[in-house]
Amino acid sequence: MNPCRPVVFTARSFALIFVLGLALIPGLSCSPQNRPKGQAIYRLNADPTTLDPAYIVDVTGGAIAAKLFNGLVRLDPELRVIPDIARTWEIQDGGGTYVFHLRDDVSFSNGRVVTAEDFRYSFERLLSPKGRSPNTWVLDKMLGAKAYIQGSADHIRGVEVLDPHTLRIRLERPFAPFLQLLTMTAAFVVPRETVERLGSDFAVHPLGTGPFVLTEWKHNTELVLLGNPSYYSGKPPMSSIRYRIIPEDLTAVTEFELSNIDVIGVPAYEYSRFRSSDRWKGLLSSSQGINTYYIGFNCARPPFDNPELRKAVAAAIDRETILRTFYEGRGRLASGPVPDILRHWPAPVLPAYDPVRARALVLSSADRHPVINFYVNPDQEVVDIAEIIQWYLAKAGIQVRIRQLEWSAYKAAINNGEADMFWLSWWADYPDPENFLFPLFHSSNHGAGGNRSRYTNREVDRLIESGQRAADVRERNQYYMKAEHIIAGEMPWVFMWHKTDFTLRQPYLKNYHMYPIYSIDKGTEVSF
Amino acid sequence: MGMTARISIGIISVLFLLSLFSPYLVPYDPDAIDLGSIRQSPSMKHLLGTDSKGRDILARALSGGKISIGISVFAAVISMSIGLCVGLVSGYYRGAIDTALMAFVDLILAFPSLILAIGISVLMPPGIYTVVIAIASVSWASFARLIRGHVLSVSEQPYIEAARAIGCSDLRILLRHILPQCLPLALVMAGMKLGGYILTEAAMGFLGLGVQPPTATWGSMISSNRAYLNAAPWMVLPPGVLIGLTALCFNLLGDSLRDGFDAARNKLRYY
Amino acid sequence: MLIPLLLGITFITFALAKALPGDPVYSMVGERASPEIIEKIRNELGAGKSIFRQYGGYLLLLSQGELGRSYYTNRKVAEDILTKAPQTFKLAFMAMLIAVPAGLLLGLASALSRRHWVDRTISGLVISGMSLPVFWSGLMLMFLLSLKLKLLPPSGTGGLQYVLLPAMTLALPALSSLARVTRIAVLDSRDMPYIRTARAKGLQEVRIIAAHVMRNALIPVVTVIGLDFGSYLSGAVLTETIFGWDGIGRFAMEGIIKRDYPVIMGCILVSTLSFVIINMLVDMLYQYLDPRLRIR
Repeated sequence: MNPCRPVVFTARSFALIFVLGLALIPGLSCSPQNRPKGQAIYRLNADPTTLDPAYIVDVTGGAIAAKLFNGLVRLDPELRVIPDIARTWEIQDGGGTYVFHLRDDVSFSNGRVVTAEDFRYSFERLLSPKGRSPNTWVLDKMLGAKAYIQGSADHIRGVEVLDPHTLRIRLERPFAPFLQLLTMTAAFVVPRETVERLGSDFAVHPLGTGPFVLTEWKHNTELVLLGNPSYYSGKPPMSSIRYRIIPEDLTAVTEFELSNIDVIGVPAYEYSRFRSSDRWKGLLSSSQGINTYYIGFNCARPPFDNPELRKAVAAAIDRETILRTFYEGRGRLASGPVPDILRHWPAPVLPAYDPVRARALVLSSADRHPVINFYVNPDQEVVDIAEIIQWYLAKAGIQVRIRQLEWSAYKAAINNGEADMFWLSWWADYPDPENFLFPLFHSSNHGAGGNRSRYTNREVDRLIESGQRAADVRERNQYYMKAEHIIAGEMPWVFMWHKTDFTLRQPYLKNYHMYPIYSIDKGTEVSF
Repeated sequence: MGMTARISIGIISVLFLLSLFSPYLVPYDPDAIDLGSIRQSPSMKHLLGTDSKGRDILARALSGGKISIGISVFAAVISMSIGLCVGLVSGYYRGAIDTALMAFVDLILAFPSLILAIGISVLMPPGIYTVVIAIASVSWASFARLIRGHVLSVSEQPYIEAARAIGCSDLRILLRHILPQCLPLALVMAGMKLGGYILTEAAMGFLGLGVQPPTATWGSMISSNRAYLNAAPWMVLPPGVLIGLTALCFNLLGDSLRDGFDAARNKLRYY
Repeated sequence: MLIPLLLGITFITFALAKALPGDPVYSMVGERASPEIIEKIRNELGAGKSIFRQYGGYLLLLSQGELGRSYYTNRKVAEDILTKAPQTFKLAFMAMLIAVPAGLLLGLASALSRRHWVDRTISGLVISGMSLPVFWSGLMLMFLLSLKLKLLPPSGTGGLQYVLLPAMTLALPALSSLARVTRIAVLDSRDMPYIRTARAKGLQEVRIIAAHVMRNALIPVVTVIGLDFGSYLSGAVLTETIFGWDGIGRFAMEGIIKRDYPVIMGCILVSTLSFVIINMLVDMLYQYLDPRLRIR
């Protein structure tokens, strides 16, 4: 037997298979895919959990809901409140009563015209004790809302239908940002008959008045929205929108470069590549986000009940260098909790980076070698920043242990006060400075309500409450300014930065704008 | 011991020693952040480049070695010990104990191993010991099964019966007569499984279940720098190569052990 | 035999999930929930009842084919698994389609060219393939074939090209172990007496290999294919994470991270169940292939 023959035999068959395989490759190369005419393709990085406006708590869901639903009012690109389904309105009783006059030409996509009764139904549904909406805080300022939520009333006393197209809302007490609350997702109008028929399946088969209608939802793959020809302000220029769900940034960027996606949020590590590329740099858009990123302290107990230690931590961190180098300048340095866009008064001046002073402050504090647990969420970028902060604080003599917890444990630890120091961000629910003061620093909101640093200052409480009640905007700003200056002085947070969002669009997409609040974009502007 | 086995042990030892002495070999502290030199590609100053915070990749890759190798060896020792105990008891006493223990072993073996290991590891706070316990809790079962089978046949031997006849206690029989028969088998199995342990440890590091930042292990380095695959591949390449190399050496070592064992047992052709 | 095993599996999964620390409530309620809402949701999840009653309730639901609703999305876990499990099986199947022929061929080539440089190279490549961590080889494949050469898309759903990269990644370790087992099996059976007889009879080498050697080699190989399926399920967790593949591996991982108990238990159950069933089938196939086992 010739021992070489088997070798030759198999070698030949290998060569054959290899050549055949090569022949297949050109057929598989990735290339732009076909798409229906007039369809814009966007990317989501996660499947929306629900599209029922009463239950949406995430930006993904909110951005899509904005295209499927409408509310009484909405925001324009300059963050002013403008009419949506309400044509006009009057504010009476010094901000305690609102009367809305609705349009009569808005209908749900099942054909029925919207009336004031629909709004009453939607609001009561949001606050209903039988439901589980986490967004009840949006509308609980209305008169009788608390009683209704607890189940001791059949209706919300403050919501009255005066006639089919007039709605009167009375508040418990005047609340200046109330109109802005009505621009939120939770205040969108839903059709009673569809909700009652579908029950909890309304979350996956939403039906609203918006410029688009959800026609397809393949979970974790894509959603398709079809343009609504009978939308009250006209048919949108795009005939449909497809949202592809792509959790991996690398894939999204590759698909974008193949023109299979029209707009992407620029991931952090690709930012420098796009910014220096001649092909793409003109197509970058940015929007100063209405947000604040911060390091929070638990001010209710040692060691951070001591403001000197808090100031030591703040002085030890070179925020400006981190923002410039690691973060590549993708944000604005924060001077306080309120983002610059919303601040219409002189900003507080924060102490500069001073490692020597930091070290001195630490040494003079009670515990000369503090060990701190720094709680962060699993996001890689956050962990990276945490390691940088850990290093800065080590130089000041503070030993930091990074506790990386998954989201629910992380939120639990922060909300119940277990975390002494934590990284967190706050994104605007509505564009009013009150949203960056009341939930975050008022003593009634300790824990899950928003005031995670458990900060208590009666003077600040009083100032915020006065601001909420004041009708005149200049008077409000005075109160807020005083409150912010006190807060900046006491440092319940290290105010890091306000992140700037970047997106990249295809050259063939026209009229694309980035907005600081996702609900502004109803998808009715872009076209090819 | 064959050539391959010696080379493998040699490479692993070198890696381990390099890792232990890395503070003296590389001029950079693996955890030192240098915001002025972020994301640099490999150069004379930083042989393997820097990561997104300016930390030297070579330093981090080297220092991660001792943790990964340490965890694997530790897990092997624990799995082997537990497996030996359970297998000895089960095979020697037979009967109801054997049935019950083997049913439990079958239950553990019914689970896909990584999934069960992950499930166990999230019961405890992330850290080195968690990974060791998680790997060992899943891996002991195959040891137990193997040892039990061997004990079943060994305890049939006449000299065991003789020992019992002269009044040796069970414990003495187990420890002095049966255990030495099982040790080579257990060691061979441990050798074969070491490669898998490295990979499992790397996987758990990759999934964020192991050591916490800023300490580096190979798996966690790949995971935290994975986004830079396109922009800065030098961050992801070295740790993967190191894992592969170590696993390769462990696998070759395990193979040699098994071959040697089989050859000694069968005295037949085998290579 | 199967029923006690399944009961044991469900109890272990249940005990595991219940022992997990952390609170799933906060994932659901968003940033500004009031304590009343949190309390209400926690009551609904039944945290107050005794653990045995909870297990009994779970078994009752299982017998009705109900796996509960996700704590996080409130969608039925059974539905989600029904949509995602096929994705994982699709991936595993593609991986098998790549691994089995390639592994067999490589093993065969290696065995037939014993001590030749072909054998050495293949053995070397094979053992390296087994030693590479699957998540790293996936990234390297993605880097080379997708990002640099732009041959295949990095991930996503759609046609054949999307499944190739993850399937190749998943196939690599299985391919390697198959190649090794095949090689040993072929070598073993080649020296069997009946092969010598066949050669003495004058049969062509090729025919001998195809008809006799391979058929006997298949027996241990089939066992390994079955066992590898378990490695596909485990490896799928990592591969699906890297490639963003929407299967139960990634679903389970996200569930564990979010402490979504029904999801965790559902995924572990389904994957273990499939593993057990596949092994049972392999056992049956094994008996069919080896007539010696049929006589009981």
